[in-house]
Amino acid sequence: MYQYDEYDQQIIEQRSQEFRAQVARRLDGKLTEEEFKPLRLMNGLYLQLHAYMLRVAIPYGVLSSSQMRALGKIAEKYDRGFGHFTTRQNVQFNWLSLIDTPDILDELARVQMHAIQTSGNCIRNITSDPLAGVAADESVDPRPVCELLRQWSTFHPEFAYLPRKFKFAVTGAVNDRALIKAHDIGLQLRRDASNRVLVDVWVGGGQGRTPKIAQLLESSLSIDELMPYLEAVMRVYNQYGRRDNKYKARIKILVTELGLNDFKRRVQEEFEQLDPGVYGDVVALLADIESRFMLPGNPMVISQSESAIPPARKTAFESWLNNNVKAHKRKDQAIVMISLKPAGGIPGDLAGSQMCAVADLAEKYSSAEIRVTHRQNLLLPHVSRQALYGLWQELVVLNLAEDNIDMPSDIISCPGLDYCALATARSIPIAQSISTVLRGKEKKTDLSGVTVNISGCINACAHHHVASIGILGLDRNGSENYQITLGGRADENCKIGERVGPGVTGEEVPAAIERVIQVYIDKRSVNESFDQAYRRLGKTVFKEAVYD
Amino acid sequence: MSSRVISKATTATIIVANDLSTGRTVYLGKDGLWHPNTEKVRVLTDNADAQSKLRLCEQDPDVIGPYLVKTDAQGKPEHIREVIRLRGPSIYAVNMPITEKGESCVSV
Repeated sequence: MYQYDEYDQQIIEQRSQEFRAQVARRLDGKLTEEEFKPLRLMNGLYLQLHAYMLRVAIPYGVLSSSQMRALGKIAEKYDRGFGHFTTRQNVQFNWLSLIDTPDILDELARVQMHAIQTSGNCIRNITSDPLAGVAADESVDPRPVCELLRQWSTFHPEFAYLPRKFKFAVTGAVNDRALIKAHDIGLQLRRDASNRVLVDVWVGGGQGRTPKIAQLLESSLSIDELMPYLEAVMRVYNQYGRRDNKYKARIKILVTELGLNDFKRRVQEEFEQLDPGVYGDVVALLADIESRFMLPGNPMVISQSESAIPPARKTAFESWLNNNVKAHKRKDQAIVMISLKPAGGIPGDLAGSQMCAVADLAEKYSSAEIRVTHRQNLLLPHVSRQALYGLWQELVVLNLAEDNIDMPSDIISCPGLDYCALATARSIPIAQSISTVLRGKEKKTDLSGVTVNISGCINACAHHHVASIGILGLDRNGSENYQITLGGRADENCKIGERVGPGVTGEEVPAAIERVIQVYIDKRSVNESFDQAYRRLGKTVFKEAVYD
Repeated sequence: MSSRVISKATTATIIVANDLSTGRTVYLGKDGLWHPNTEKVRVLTDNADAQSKLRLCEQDPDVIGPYLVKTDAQGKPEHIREVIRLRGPSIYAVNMPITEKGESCVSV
């Protein structure tokens, strides 16, 4: 876990005090809503359909047990007993009052958390591979670079009022679990033959109403060059990005309108004018940051021979092992995924009591560390392989042992029209119906890797464009209507799915998705992924299934 | 403002807003006060009257973002967004606390 220094702590405490004064001025009428709105948004506080919503930053998805426990207590004390983990690896509380928010920010600050830059046209929370630092397939741990970006982008005065919000994602593994090609900037860290770290910079990816796959802007940057290069990219975007139309203000539109070569030329010109000296010794900075990621010791070993597992439980445990336990870079350890997608449940929601229980489990089994994934699940990154059965038993008791990671019922869902002021249709109830329908099917046949994502509006917070099966909820003449896209991918071969045809009603969606998956089951070749099958078989056969 | 929000009262309308301090959805009542539901809601059937009331509400420091919502004659909203604002989320509360309005599984 990264340990903040005194400067970081001072910043968030001061920001909390500042916001308390702003809230007081708003409540006594000295600030109008027009004056107050930009101030609350800078602190991650939105006004939604039913209440205020606070989006709390979880930098690159890494949480300590004490932070998770604080979130659980906030859920129980100020919310309605739960929180919602998001695709930016953040957490949202949906039922807050304005008058409680300063106290909540104080409680967050005590555990080095905040809601700064979780809204507004600024650089948002940096996201990363949730397996960062522990993945068996990783060549570079991306967390130090993520932390460097966090420090650089937090309160960066030049980038506080960008044309539009700006999102970074970073990975250091060949298998992209951070969705770097669907971000404004995606960074791929890798090593050359002499073990030197190099960075490939991808630019102009994004979802929303104009989905784009990022293009490779620069390859093989050295770490020394990274910060001035990113500064140059941001400056070009800040200067030339469109401010006349919010729907054309993201960097993906600028890159498209200029063309990659012209955009790259402008970045290069800016880069050459920057003095790399102002960033200090980045290599030394990164080494210092790396030292603040305290390496866990050996995790607690709770020896219980798996041969002692009662036969009645063995099948369930083995299924969980196969689906929810991932390879760790240390062979004696494992990465344990905790699904927040029980069949019929609310994707990404976790009760405060469960948050506190997960914090306890992290302390017992995972060196007090938890990660949030962009697929709205949690993981424990440092679990002894010998402790897996004990951990599984405790997760079962907590109703957190659903063995459906990366399966169709592991649905990404935005809050949709049940909470969000921007939404045009509901997404959570549709997700609940789909997971109920599909859970039985995926227990009978291997559907691992088939992703289902559902967004409640064109902003695509649930990444529906890059799902195997994407669902987009819209308002058609006052009624909810759902468009289905097929064949997307959210990995290193990122692809945007293809719309199959006219939308269907919410009631029709679960059965339509079930029929699409049945086509895949019936017609797939051995080891053929959904998008491979979709491209081989063609759209028509799947389209017929949707409208059958 | 959303296209679902009507700018002119052509039939029955009510006024909805968020309470400033709690953020909760509130409705303008017959008594001129803000209420958490539509039991005592003021149903406006005259366009000019509705616009006039809305302008007054926009000056009220205790609420945010008031607007007119089309309803039936009894003041019940018709659009699903407004039904959800009134009744709470329509989600099935699996492992979750029930909503403040007492509905754990609302069919809208």
